[in-house]
Amino acid sequence: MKTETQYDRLKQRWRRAGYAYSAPQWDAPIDVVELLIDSVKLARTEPDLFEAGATWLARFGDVVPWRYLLWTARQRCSHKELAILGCMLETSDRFAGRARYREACNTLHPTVRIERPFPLYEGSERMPEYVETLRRHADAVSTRWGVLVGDVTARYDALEDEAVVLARNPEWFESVTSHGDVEKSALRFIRSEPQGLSKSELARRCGVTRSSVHAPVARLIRQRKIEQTGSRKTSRLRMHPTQPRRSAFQGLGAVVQPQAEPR
Amino acid sequence: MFDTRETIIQALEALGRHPGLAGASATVVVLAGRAAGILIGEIRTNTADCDVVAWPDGFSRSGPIEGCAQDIAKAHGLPTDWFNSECSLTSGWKLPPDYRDRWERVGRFGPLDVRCISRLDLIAMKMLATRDRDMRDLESLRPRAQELDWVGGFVATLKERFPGEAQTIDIAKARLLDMRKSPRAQSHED
Repeated sequence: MKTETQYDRLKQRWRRAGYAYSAPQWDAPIDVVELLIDSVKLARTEPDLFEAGATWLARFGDVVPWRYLLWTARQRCSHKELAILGCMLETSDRFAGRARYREACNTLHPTVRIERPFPLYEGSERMPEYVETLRRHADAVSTRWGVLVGDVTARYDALEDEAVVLARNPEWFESVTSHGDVEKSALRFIRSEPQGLSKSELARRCGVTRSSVHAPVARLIRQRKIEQTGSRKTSRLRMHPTQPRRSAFQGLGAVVQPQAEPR
Repeated sequence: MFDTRETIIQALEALGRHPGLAGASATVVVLAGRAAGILIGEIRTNTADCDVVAWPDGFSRSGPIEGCAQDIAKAHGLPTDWFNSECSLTSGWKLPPDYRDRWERVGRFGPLDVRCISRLDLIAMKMLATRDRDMRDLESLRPRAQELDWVGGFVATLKERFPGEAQTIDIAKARLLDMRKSPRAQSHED
């Protein structure tokens, strides 16, 4: 019997996210941030994932809270993996013909340390002439991130219809209907901390000033998605009691750990 | 999606039975890419489509076959372009001109006489394909030293014929140089 690999499981999750990999659909809600980070981590051995990620982001990028993505990626990824993520975000903007992730890339880029450009596909490292040729022909995005990527094209033909994908993943509506990324990411940060977060800590994680989170937080409180508890000095932002404390896909840390995956 | 020879054959059988092809005159269809690799047992991976690299009988992509293939896609849950000849337009130049001396017969499906390119031609085309996943396929093909020599000879003829493809040809030459030096190629020398 064929053993299911991490790549097989990622393809199942991509299938649920609307990218037509040859795999059965993952049968539980998926966390797009975890999906992107896991794909970035495996892209060096399975470079298809880079193309899948960039294509998917070009069409469905609005569901991704990018500040939360960057913060989570910084906790879990190496510099090479962060460079691949940056390259993927910028490639998706190139595919989509817009600058949705320009701010994300400008935020991420200064923190990524790459000593010398490296090929996306790890197997190519054994091929110095080829790597040198890739470096010579690298485009601006590859050069900026130090990731030598072969030809990548937007595989829109592999994407399912948006309405079908959103109907299958109703938990994404929360992101789609948010007012901008600070609000979208704030909700994810607060949901991920059962003990709650101070406004300063939330601002720090979002990479913005404390005053920049004021309006998004006020809106989330008005919508009864979150609440502010405690005295002025010790106030914490928590999920509103009427909201699920854990998102449908939270604990997906467990999903990305192969040994804990539900089968 | 296809990950075994059987899954590809099943889709081709369904296509061959499509009423839209009933009474059509027999035509040869040549497959390349991962589908060809899977059909000849040289690549163990999966692919979303069957890339038609040549219609030696002069059919074109405007013919009825791709339209019928789209019907099969709906019925079998395949991507709409699972049977397409995009490759014949973009990568036809990467196919060695004498590929018919080596092509392999897959089977007859209604009017479709399906062939696929040989291992040697697949290596040549993958050498000239510039996506990272093609590099991965090339590695799994583990070309032998004499196959690399043959492909090198073919690639050397291209620069003059296709000056607009200089970058791709450069990449292929660099890959050949590295692969010739690799212990893998040398250990396959027999």
